[in-house]
Amino acid sequence: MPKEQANWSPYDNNGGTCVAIAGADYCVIAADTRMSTGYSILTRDYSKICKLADKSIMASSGFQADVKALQKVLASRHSIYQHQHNKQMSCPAMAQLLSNTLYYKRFFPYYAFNVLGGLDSEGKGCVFTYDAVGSYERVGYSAQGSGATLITPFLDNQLKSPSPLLLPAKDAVTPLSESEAIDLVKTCFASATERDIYTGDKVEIVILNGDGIRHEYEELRKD
Amino acid sequence: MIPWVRSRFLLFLERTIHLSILFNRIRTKYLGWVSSSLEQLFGVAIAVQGKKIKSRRTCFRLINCRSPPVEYSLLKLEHSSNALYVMDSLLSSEGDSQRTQYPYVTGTSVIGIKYKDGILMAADMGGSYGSTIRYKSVERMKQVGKHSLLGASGEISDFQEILKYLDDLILNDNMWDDGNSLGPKEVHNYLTRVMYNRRNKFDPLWNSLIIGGVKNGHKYLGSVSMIGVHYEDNHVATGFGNHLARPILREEWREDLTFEEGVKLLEKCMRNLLYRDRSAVNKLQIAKITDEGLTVSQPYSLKTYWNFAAFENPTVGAEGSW
Amino acid sequence: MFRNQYDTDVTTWSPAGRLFQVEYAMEAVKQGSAAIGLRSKTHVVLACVNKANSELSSHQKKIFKVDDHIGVAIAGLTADGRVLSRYMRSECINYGYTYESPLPVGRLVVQLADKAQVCTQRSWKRPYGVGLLVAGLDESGAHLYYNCPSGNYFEYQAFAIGSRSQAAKTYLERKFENFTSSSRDDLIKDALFAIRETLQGEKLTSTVCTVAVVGVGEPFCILDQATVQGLINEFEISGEEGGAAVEETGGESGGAPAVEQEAAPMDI
Repeated sequence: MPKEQANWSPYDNNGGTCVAIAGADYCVIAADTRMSTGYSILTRDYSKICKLADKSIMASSGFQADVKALQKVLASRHSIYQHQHNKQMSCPAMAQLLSNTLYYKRFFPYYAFNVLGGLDSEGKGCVFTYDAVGSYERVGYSAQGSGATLITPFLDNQLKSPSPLLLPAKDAVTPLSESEAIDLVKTCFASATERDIYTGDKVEIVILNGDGIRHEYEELRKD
Repeated sequence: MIPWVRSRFLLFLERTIHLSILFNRIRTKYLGWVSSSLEQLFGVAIAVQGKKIKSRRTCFRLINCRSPPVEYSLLKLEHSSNALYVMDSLLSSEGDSQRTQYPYVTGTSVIGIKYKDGILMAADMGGSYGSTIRYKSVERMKQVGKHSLLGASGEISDFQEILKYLDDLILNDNMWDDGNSLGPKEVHNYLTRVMYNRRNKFDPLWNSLIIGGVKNGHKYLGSVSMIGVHYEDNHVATGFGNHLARPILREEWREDLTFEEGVKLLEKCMRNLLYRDRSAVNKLQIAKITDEGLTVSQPYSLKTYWNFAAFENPTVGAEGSW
Repeated sequence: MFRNQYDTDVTTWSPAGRLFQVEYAMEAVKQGSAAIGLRSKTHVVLACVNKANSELSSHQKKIFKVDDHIGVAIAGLTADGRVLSRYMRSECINYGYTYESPLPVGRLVVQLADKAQVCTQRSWKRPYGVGLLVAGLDESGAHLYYNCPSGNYFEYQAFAIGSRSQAAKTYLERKFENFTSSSRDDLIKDALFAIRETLQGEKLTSTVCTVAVVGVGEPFCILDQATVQGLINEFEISGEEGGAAVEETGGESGGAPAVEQEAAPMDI
């Protein structure tokens, strides 16, 4: 058999964009629901958002099989945590666990680009942003995935987070109200969809605040 | 020294030397083979060591002398610990690799849709050997347990291996005899784990699978690829089907499709594939699964019309083409 | 006291066809404080008596959540119970990982029983000294199982294990026919009544008992103390006079000591 046939790759990029914004007493996590491979769309309604604990929610893009495996590992680890500690994991704890889980596969990484949003122990919004091998940082907002290059500069412009070099450190949470933040997210996705072929169909927005969790959806371009 | 003893001693020496030379030859000639089989041996040894007889499930697999496709220990879960080593050995000795690098006999697209009472699935019966259509009666849709239907494109031998895994799974499920049974969702998930685990071992099962089924009135239709990408939808298709059939399905699919309408829609898709997919053959089966059970149609062919002007003379109006 | 020449290890038969070590393990279950379970078509309730080892200590946890659809109540060696519930938890997590659906209760119970059985047939092992009431919900409905150290398991409508469980059993035997159609709250009420039967002259309060529920649309959860106290007050079942006096001396064939000495084997 000639060897010119398509060799296979253990990775694929299934596209998708994730955004999270932290506010003083809320957190907005959003991702589109398109799943693609190459130039084709596999499905228009696949949720990239995963509730890991009561107050931590992860949105992930990248290679869907790895993302799913990662979500399942974290879900298992979280149920073990609950059995042992009789409580939900806090968002910063989940952030560290996510980092460790990614780093554990440093030499055969999960091809997953995550943002983790939630509320910390004081009820303040928090966002953690990652690379595929576990480096992470607490920020005020973040975008990951195929549309990140389009959305990040827009968010930088709109939200103007204080420099992390400032001393004493200033809070990274955005001054926006919850509804303003949701509108901003919708605008981000509508804009990214215009130029990024891997983003589209629908955006799923999860809003976390003192009252609990709420979901919102907004249709996006299907082309 | 007594001559007799001496001759014996020489003979012994000679044999030893002979053996060592022989062994050296084997070593040089079969170095690749020896090392790769050692790797296998070690792999097997490690696998057996790591496997505790924890449950009926694993015991059962041990009895069947088949390595379990899914590892159950959370710590070891799905991690290929020596990914770099594996990649390295893949690069250096692809020729002797015992892992699938490319498929041999393949089946082309499968299409599945939900309809009013359940799931409909269609696949043709061709088995291609490269660009040769080598087999013409390959059944690529099979029942799994009571509630599920599995359709496969890609490597036929891998599909048959998957069916063996599923036989084990379903037999074991039935042996409990406790009124519980695995539904399409469970089968889909299990297969996703199997496919993903194999890609983690750099030894993929070269298939795209479609799983459909109905359990307790609940319809389920999903798909898994060879590297573990999976999703659910109202209509799914593998390979070329994703390019040629799904646009049609997106236009014409409805929740309340009747059986006749569903079959018509599938035939329209299959006909399109037949026209444009060179490995498709005009001999197909349609399978139906509902709460009442599964039926797979007898193989039949579609009416085709090849007298389109563009088919008869494809270069007309295409200036500059050959 | 129990000494005889056939009880030095688990694998030695007595001429009468008994395995003394296994029987001793079964005896350990009777020493632990009581645990009861009862079920309707849709719900299962577990309850247990909390017994502190000393005035100065708190009691040990005797009801464990295994998964959203399964929980256990134990009587006997709590340490063994914890090991087994950890095993059950990991089985549930692994099953959930592979199939994304809950492990059927009956299967978990068989796996657990098989695990216990192994310990009755290996000379270097010791049987688990704990009895487990396994409550769970799956596609075939609500279930209550009893797993014992011998590797046997039984499914029950209602059952009680542990010290003075005979009193609770008698209560449950009198009432179980109505359980199938009971509401969740009635089930809890009966659980509390049954628990009270096992308390000898002690007042039933939320501090001496733990109650847990699992049912349709309700993941397994251990009720908090305030809720339990609320229910006790509501049903006015704290009084120690009890309903119909229950004969304590039920026909326990194993010949449980008439006056049970409260010292369980674990507190030496």
